[in-house]
Amino acid sequence: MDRFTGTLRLLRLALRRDRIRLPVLIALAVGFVGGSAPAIVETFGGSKEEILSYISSAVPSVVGRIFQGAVQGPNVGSVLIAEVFLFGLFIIAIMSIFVVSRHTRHNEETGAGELISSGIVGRSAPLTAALLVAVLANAVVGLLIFGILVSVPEFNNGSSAYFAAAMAAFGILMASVSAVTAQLSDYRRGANLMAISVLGVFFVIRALGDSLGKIGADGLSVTSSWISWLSPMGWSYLVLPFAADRLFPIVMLLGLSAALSGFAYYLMSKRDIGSSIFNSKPGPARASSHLLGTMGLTHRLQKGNLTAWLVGYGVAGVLIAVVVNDFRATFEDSDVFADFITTSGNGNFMQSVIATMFPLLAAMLSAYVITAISKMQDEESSGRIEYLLGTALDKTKWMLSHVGYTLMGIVATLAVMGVAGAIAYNLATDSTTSLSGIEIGLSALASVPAMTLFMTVIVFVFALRSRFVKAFGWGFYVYCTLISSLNQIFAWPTWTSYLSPFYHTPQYPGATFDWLPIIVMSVSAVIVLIVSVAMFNRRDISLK
Amino acid sequence: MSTNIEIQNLVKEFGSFRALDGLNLQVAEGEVHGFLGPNGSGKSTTIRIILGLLKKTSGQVTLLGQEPWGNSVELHRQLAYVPGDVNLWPNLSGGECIDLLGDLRGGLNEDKRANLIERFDLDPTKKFRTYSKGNKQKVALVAALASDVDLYILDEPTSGLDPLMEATFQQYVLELKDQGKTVLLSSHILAEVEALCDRVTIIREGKTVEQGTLRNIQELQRTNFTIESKQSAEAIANLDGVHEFEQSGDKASFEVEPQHLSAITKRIAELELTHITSHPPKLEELFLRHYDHSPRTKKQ
Repeated sequence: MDRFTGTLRLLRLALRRDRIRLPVLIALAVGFVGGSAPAIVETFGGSKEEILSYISSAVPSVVGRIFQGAVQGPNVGSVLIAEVFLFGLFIIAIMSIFVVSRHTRHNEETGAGELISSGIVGRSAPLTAALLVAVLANAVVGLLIFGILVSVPEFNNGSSAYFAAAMAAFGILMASVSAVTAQLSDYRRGANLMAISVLGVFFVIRALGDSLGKIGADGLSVTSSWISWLSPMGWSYLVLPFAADRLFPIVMLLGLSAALSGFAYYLMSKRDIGSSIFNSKPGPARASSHLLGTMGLTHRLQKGNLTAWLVGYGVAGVLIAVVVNDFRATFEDSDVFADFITTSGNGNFMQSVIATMFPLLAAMLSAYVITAISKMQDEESSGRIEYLLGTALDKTKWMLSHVGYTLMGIVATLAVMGVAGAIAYNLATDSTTSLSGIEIGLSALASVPAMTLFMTVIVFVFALRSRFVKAFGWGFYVYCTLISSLNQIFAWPTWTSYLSPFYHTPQYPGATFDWLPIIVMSVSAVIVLIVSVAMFNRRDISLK
Repeated sequence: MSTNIEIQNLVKEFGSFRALDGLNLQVAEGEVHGFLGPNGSGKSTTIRIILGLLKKTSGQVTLLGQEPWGNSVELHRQLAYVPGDVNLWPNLSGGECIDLLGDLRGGLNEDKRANLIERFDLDPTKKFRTYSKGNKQKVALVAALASDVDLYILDEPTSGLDPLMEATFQQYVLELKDQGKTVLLSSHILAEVEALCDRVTIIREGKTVEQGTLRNIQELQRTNFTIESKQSAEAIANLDGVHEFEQSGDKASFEVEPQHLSAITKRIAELELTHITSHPPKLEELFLRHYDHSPRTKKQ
């Protein structure tokens, strides 16, 4: 077994390197799934009616089935799956993909892999160690989710084990997919992109299968079509926890994981260290005119990220429009939402829902702003900024090119969200509804000043000290997205909400459009930006 | 001859750490100036202050007649810079990196670009991340040298080049010198400095410890002796013109200033010698002395 010599040592190294990142991702997955369970029980556990209305709206909705899966009857377990399963699967899939590529391909890319392999380390040891880390992480996620679920009386049964195992097994499968793509591409991003594309295909096939499923006679359950069986993500759903508790889809997932891992070992034996099955294609010998100039480079660095987010915002827009429409169909007469309307101002029900949900969504999607502004920090921490500023490029111009691009991205993403929402809403509803496409579009764009202010605050931190950008950005992001719910739960003073720019976005439509916060936030953003530019010009760039 | 770079008493502090502590450097127009010092002695920091990328704490810095901090954009049009860390955009090709940096510098000379790519034998179609260390360095070099400027600031530009490419680089710098261009060359390759540089500045711990032409640096005029004798050579240590005396067992080594050479050799001849070697000084020895952190062993 010389091939595996040193595996345990490398496993310890990998765990040591991931001692922060892995626990954070595990906490995110477990916190999301485990944290939602008691909340769902609290909302739906007491009344059979709430569950019934939830399920009866989820079953006929095609979009519902795409994102919530094929619902299995009116019980609280069905609600749990519909609410958390998909997002939970995505988190652990991404975690597994990144863990494996980080400890295999990325090591080879940086040269650390060569150094490791020159030691007393078997040829298969690095890949084995990476896979073991992923299996361990998924096992921990599964056990923790199981542990939290059984602590909730409604979920204290064997089904919780199937639920947790279905998630963990899918994570392990995606780790094995990543093991294969790490052999195919010669750089980590390429390998990750391939693995994420595979995840996307799994999702689309499963979504197609579930949306083509057959609705049961009682209208409260859906049987997935055979197409869902073509997707390993479908297998995960088809475990049917809290309904059928099937074991064999889990076995299928683990079997396929083993087969793919074997294939990864085979591919690895066919290639040299550092090379890959598909080596990098050569690029152009000359730069095209699009790449030249400050904006050309900024566009090149930013466009991939923006494109991905545009797709995300588009999906979010469709989703929200359809959810609103589903809500209308289900709840228009319910007392809960009569209260909701009266508390959230004038206007009709749909306007209120849109006016409440778009700013919330804009706050959640402001993650785009952090990823875009972080590109500046990447340029600085990698030292490439030294090449750039060593030319006749002005610091102000460089910074404004990224800020300007991000601002353009903010408007574009929100516009896409608004337009997608408006189109989806109008396709989904009949002509009797009172919400126009323009209202939906404007409601989305009303968040532009808040997001711009959010951006300039992050730019300010970058101008202060670049290495704080990501930590501050994500911290501020979590604060802004959670504060309004947190200070309701913990009865914190209201001013804690004021610190979030998104709190000040006017509620539109539904109330008369309030220009004051728009103007105040826009002016503040300009001031913060001017100060940031001045500070950035004044500070040293941080170099090794 | 005018001065392109003039630094007097430069101090740079990073928090409580004093990276530069009264550094002096003068680079005249049309010269190739060697800038030497051990790792972490402040070479790159000095260069970055010259370029206006870092802000000095105190002292005088003039680049082409101007204070660089705040005027860097205008100044950078007149110079080309190769940083020590070669790290460009991993997913751009080498050719794209060269064109982009050239464009940002205000345009590059097409003939030079083609010529340099050929001479350095660089494949411009490879993605930057796939280049080896030496080839990455070539991309950075071509990007800088293809510009039509009068001042080149090169921070350890050749540490990864093979001997053939090193020779190409030296040839190119000599051509620049013939054209009257100015080059500030920070380097660890002493043969390169000896071959190219008119004058050198040696720094240590943020201070200038030596500057001048290679011929004028006093310690480079000395002759090195190693002798073996049954008798003690200690007496030589105290003579005028003897430096760096070290005795271990029968062996003694020391350096002698040129004007004391005949007097000292007479004294050496009086010893019962079993072995003697003598060789001209090398930059390397000067270096080893300055780079060595232990206190000097010189005896007066």
